[in-house]
Amino acid sequence: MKPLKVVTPSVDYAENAILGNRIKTPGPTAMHTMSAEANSSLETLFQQHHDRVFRTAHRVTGSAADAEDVLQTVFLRLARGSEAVTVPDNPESYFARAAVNASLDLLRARKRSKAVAFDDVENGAAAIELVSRRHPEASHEDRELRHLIREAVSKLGPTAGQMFALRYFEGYDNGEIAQMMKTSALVVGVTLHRARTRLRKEIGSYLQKHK
Amino acid sequence: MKNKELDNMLDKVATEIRGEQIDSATVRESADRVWMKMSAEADAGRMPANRLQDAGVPVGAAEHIESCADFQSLMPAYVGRELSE
Repeated sequence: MKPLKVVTPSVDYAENAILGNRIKTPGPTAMHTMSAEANSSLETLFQQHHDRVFRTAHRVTGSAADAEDVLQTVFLRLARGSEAVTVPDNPESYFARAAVNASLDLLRARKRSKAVAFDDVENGAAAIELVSRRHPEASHEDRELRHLIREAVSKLGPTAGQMFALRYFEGYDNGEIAQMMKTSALVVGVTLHRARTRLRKEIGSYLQKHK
Repeated sequence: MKNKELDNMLDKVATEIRGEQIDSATVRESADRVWMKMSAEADAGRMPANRLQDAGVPVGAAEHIESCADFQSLMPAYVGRELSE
């Protein structure tokens, strides 16, 4: 069995993939032109990391259906990035960031859509219903607050949203986030402080309306 | 409500979200579906990719022209009169 071909990804590709930027990938580099070796690398990465990606996406979106979409998005981006599937330097943090970004992108895209499809209305209600079924002990207010916070996090800027999700949904500390996002712990701390201020306001507004 | 109370509420909600569990069977079934879709895309995509290459379009050339870079990638095949009508 041939060893995995390890290729250090270029900074541009890695950054774009992690930040979820919509980069145009030239050429027929999707899975259908991948060599058997590259496909095997992808399969290995999928087997090793699909669980982490799905669970992270589920925490950020609150929906199993959305988590499945995110799982597909993350691995398709990896597959389409290059003929050789690159094994990230730090797969755990790579996939954590990729899952968070793809999840937030999905929530934002849904918000941006002007036509509110019946499915979208159902999705919101379904998300709350799913939390309700899985956590019957949670009050209606708890479930609504979780939904509210998820939506509010997606409305933060891309960097703040990512940092918040990594810190409070995934449990990484400021230093780890700073390393993952190639910044300083100070910047992470300031960003999170501002994010919390915004989210506090969202909770305050919600509670005011539902007194 | 005071900021401190709102902060506590935010932390409580975030902790609940972090603690949400999903059963392994659901994760596994989703993973199976996603891998099947990806494999199906790989299989379905083989024909179009081969047709492009049969037409002499080099690997790495754009399938859809969306930018100057895509146009540039097709130029060698165009100059060599290898692109389809």
